[in-house]
Amino acid sequence: MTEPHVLFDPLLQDLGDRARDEVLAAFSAVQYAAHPVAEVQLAGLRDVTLRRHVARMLKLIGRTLVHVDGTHWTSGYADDIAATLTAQGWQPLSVVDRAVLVLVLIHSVAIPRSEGILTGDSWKSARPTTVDELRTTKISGEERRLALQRLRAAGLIQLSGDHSGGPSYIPGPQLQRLTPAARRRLQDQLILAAGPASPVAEAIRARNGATPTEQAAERRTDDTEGNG
Amino acid sequence: MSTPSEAVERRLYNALWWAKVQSAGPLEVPRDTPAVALLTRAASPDGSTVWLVPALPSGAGHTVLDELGTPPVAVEQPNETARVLSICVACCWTDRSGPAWPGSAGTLAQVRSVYAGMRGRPEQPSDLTLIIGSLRRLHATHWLLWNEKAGEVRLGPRVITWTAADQATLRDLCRHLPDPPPAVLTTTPAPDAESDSLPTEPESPEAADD
Repeated sequence: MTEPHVLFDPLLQDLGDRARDEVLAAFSAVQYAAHPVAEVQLAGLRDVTLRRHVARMLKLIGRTLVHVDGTHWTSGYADDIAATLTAQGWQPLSVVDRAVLVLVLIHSVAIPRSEGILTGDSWKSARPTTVDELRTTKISGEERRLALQRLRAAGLIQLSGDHSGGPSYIPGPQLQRLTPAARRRLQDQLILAAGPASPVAEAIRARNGATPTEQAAERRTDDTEGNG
Repeated sequence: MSTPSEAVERRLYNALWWAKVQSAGPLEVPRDTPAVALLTRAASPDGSTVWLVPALPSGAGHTVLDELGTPPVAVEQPNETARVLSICVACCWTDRSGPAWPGSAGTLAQVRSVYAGMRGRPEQPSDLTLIIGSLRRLHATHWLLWNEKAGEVRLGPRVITWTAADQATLRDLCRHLPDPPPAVLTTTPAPDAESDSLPTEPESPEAADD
């Protein structure tokens, strides 16, 4: 490595050549791979000291390490950075794209989870959302097709392998980049939207009420990732 | 020397901008926006704004994925999309003695003409669907700036990250493509008959991508 890393130099300068290469490889893998990377595959993820360097590099660009299924790693937005940006009103997805994404999340994750078919707090699901389930009078067919195209390109949804009833969708690999806190916020938001008068919604409001700033931020939060 | 609190603020400033370009792609900002570490600046063609484009050094980029055999986020219709990008490079990078960015404006008519020439046959009805789908995909990822109303395309800010070696490869590629016809640009972005009826790709994108 002869190129200056500017931002990362202070973190990398004390490492030997080999350790630095391992850290950079792990950093790139969690940032750019479509899916979480197996810990055993990379020394930069296996070794706790090297992994700490990867986490510090990610922190400099607003990211954090996310542990998936106890065996894999990926990166996601750091909770403090996501909270600051949402409080500033930052929102890279259009309202139509968000609406279509939410419909997929409701049919593929929220409903199966409420039926006990899906357990845990992951937003990964094999239950497909059909095009029929995405039809709504509020979004035209053309708008929906364009939104689906953009969401697929961003990795927020993907085609399911089940083509029996025409094309259908499941949550994309980017959803696995949500931190535990982001996963909880997304679940809370769906409950507040679907059953605002339910006791669970009341409990969420009470919990959020403890920190008014966070509540204000969460009201506008969309805990999804772009195609970074 | 900066004070510790200035250093903390600086780090937060960098992290917030990086989170923005990772979630929305390269961003067009006022020229006086202070620099952000490892975000390259690409001045817009009229110089009034700059694009902030992620530019990680080699070793911290996506090349490691090949070595790991781990795929990056998949591109739909990868071959068609790559074909249309190469055609747009040929149409928009007119002065190839200099860098590709910002290049000049090309037209949908040019892209269609080179596409048919590249295939060595007259234009087929399905070509336009494939071309428009690819232009939209490349626009969404900032490899191109595609103005659908005007039917005009420019290279996108991401091309500023192309190295001298990348540009040499692309120069060579352009030599192998049919020459585009001269660009006839519309001065006002009034939709013409053609752009009124631009096709949309089907809901399932799994058409053959040869």
